[in-house]
Amino acid sequence: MKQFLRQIFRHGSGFVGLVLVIVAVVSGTFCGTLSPYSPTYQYRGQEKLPPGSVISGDEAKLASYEDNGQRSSGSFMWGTDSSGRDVYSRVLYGARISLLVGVISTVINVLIGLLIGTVSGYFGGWTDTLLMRLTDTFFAFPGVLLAIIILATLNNDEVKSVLGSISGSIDPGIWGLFIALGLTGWTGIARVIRGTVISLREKEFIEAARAVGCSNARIIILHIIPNCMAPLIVLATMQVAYNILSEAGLSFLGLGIQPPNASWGGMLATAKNYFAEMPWWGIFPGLALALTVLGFNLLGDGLRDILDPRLKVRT
Amino acid sequence: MSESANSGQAAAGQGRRQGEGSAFWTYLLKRLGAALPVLVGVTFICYAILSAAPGDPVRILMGQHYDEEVANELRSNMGLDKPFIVQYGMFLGRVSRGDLGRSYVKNLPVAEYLAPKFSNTIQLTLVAMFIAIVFGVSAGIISAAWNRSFWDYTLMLLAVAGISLPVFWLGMLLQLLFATHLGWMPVSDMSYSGNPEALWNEVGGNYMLWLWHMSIKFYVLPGVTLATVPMAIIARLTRSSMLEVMKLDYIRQARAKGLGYSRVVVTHALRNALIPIITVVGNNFAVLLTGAVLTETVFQWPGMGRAMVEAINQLDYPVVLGGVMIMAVVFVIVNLIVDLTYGLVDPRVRYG
Repeated sequence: MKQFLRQIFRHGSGFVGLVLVIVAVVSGTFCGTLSPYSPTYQYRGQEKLPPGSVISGDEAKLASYEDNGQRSSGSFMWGTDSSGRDVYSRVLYGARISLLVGVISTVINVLIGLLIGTVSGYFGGWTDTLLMRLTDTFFAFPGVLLAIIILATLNNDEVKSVLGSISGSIDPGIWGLFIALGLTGWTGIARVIRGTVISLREKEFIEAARAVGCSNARIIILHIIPNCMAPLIVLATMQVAYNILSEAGLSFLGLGIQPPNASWGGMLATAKNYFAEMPWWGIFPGLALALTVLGFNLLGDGLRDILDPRLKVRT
Repeated sequence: MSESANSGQAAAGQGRRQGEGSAFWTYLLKRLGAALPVLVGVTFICYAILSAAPGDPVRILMGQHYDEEVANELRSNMGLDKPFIVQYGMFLGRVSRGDLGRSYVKNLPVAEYLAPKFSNTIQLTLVAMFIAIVFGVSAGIISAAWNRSFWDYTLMLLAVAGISLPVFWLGMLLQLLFATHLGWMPVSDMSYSGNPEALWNEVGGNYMLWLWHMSIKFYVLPGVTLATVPMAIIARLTRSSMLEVMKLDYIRQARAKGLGYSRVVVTHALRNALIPIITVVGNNFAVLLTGAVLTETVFQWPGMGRAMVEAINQLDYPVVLGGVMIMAVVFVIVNLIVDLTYGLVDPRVRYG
């Protein structure tokens, strides 16, 4: 760990990526305490304020009255949107959604990719052919189209009411995003893992394990998978970036997180119509999104250089 | 004697060529054979998900004039009362005859509805691909030729940024700067909406200028937006692929015999670095063609991606299925073409 930190520190861009990721994770985790206002509260009379607007006096009274008397004066650091919501607070809460979707759907991607990749590479033969054909099929779905179709299916009242009861304060649309992105982004991981497993399969230590009577499952779990960790970590980091971008895209199309709940893609979708008039509304969430994705991509590049230099540029 | 030797040689040569040719066709057949299950799988997954989707197509078809009896009749006519697998079989049967069905909402055959949208998306994709290849490959060559230089770091930083930028946000920024503020480009749409003849008089009969205002300028912003991600990917891959080749002995040999650096880079290194580049170009062409949804939404481009999203929102399943089918076919064909070009670029590649 110490050695890894030293290496990533020496790897300039990787370190920048790590810092960006940490900033995003901190904002997403502590958005409740970091955000000065509620992300969904609409301050009447404070609509379309430019960044740095300070409200005081009568205006502040109005705001504090509507905010249950918690505030006597305040500023909107990044301005407000067309409904009088604080852009800064919304961007912070958007980080929570983006990271949740990015990480959880990537975990699903990794589980599916690892299962299919190891089984396919380890057993070979018709199992391999069948599973690779399945992977090709999922790969042939263009871009986010399959995710869009899955989201459309999940978007009915029955499913929503069930999901709504278990998701608490978070938009129930997040479950659809987990599933849709989790079921679609695993093909690249499966292929790389399969390749790694095929090269591992014939190694002496696997043969030794087989000779002492290890079962296939034991060999895969204890000997194969640990040796796949380097490419897996690199691919997963980059997949988080891809999933965060996809989430923003889907919410931008109105298929993911629904307004008034805060998500970067959703904010950009509404901000688009006011972009010339109030650019701050579109700039800040877009910047947050771009920097977070950049962070994961840089970190992924850095991890590749450190852990697995042979792994080529994917995507 | 000499004659027979000649003919023998010719026959041998022909035989080799024929052998090669048949290997090529066997390879093609094998690849097509592998593509077919993929296409069936794609439609099956799509059909299965959509049949679990909410909403009753008959209700959408009939709109306000919903009548239970007519609805039931319609259902049995459309085969909606049959089990899922039978419905899917009927769908495959129709598709194999080239019939993609009829849109529930547009009251048009799906093929007729999607054809112009598909053509619009193809045009945009070709423009974007052209931009991406020209700038991406150039940036990659510069980065590799002057490895670890200032330009290398700058270009590669730009490339990482290009991969990380949300395309729709980039589109919005370009729109704000070049369309709204500077007014150089149109905000959206595909072609000039006014009278072409009036425009012709306005530009004083300059054909290029007229063409620019009629159509070309509408492609610039969406084209650049859509090109950004593949451009960045191509640049990164060209660089790493070139660097790998530049380490090889024959490059040093070419330099040693006195060839100029630029000549070695372009003719010796680039040619041999092309295969991974072609692969990624092919992959991205398909992704672009089909993933232009966001760019099309930002620029109101009347293309396939937007039509699909609209169809999903309106529960217009025949259009969704037809669209997925078309895209999957394009994907398979483009990948096949990519695999076949390997042999053209690199004579060492044998089809097997």
